[in-house]
Amino acid sequence: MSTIISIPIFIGLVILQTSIINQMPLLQGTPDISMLVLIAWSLLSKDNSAWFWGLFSAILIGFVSTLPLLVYLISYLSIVEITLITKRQVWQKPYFTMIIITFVGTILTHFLSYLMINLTHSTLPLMDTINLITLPSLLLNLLLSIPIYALIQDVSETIFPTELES
Amino acid sequence: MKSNSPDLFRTIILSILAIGFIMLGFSGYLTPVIKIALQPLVRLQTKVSEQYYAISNSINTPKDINVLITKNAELEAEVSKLQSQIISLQQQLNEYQILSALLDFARANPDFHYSSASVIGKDPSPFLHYIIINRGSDDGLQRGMPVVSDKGLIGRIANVIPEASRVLLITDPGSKLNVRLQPTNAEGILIGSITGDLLLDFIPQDANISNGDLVLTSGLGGDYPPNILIGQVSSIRKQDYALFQSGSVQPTVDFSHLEIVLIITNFKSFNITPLQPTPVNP
Repeated sequence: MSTIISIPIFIGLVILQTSIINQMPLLQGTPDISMLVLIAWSLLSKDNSAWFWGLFSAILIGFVSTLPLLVYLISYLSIVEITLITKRQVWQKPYFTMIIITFVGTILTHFLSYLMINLTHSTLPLMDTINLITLPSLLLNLLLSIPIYALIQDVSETIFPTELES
Repeated sequence: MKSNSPDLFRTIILSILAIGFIMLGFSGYLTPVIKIALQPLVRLQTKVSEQYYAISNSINTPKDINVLITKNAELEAEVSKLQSQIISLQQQLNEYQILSALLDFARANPDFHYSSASVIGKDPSPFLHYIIINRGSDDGLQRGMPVVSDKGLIGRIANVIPEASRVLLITDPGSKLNVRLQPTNAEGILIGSITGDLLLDFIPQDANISNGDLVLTSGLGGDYPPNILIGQVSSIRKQDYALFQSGSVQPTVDFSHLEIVLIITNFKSFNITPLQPTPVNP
């Protein structure tokens, strides 16, 4: 159930991302809602489905995007790994972990994208990229991280209902 | 016989009195008297009537509220239906205006064959300036076909799948195309950037360029057909020690509001890479 539900969720997210969210940039930066959902799910899931979520979202976005699939595969699966490790260490502060992983995940995704574009597409000026794309995207991701965590928490409670104490 | 005469007399008297009162009534002499006599009756009638309406309303009002609620819901549904119709009509009008402008463009450039497509998305990566359109190889589209709007050049098709295509915008940092400036006929290269600005480079130093000059495709390189409008020169940078002039271009197309585009289907871009000189090892 927890793996199957990721399919409609990410299809919806990619449609939302490409058709609406990317039309409203802050400077040139846009939030990565798929990554935020992936982080939130990795923090909240009680099984190993986060790996499937990471793999599926990377393949889906890699298919839609011009960037090579490898960028999304490496960054999203790394984000899942980092989140699962951090969850084991800082398990009592999910919101704090969400913010930290959002920060790390955004930097990682943008670093890999920048690297790949410079290798295969065109040379991007580093400072302009940081000022116009990475920092605004980071701000938007951080702002959206808590509401998305709360939203995914509801989904998680539907899939993994909490046992009531007698 | 005798007993009848007082009755007759009384009847006559009463008749005369009655006629007299009637006559007085018609002539208006009895009005104050009637008013005094009727006032308590009217008050009583009013009280009774008020009580009746109060009781009647208390019985009938709940029914009326239910009717009103139903009517209100019906009217609200009607209003929302009409509002959605208005939005739909506004969208159709907007679409019609765009298509009309595109048709004008197509009529003004009859050498090309066009296929129209709607813009359905943008690349998820903020680093790249690509759009996704709802026409693909099933509609005869191929990689490299130029994409335009009524205002001018947008880009060219970079990838095609059966149902959709990805278009590389000329504002993308990886986009480079040969352009010609009017009226000087000077040639240069137009380069995209991450900010979406268009930069002009490699313009010969001796070319006399000024702000407002038109920027058109030159056709060199084989990626785009010649003479498609791109924009106007907005600034020029000329330095004595530099080999070329550079500048920036204000595009005629608003790349943030692309809805419907035209694909030039009878233009085949060609790859000139094999013709480019390669360094020969001694």
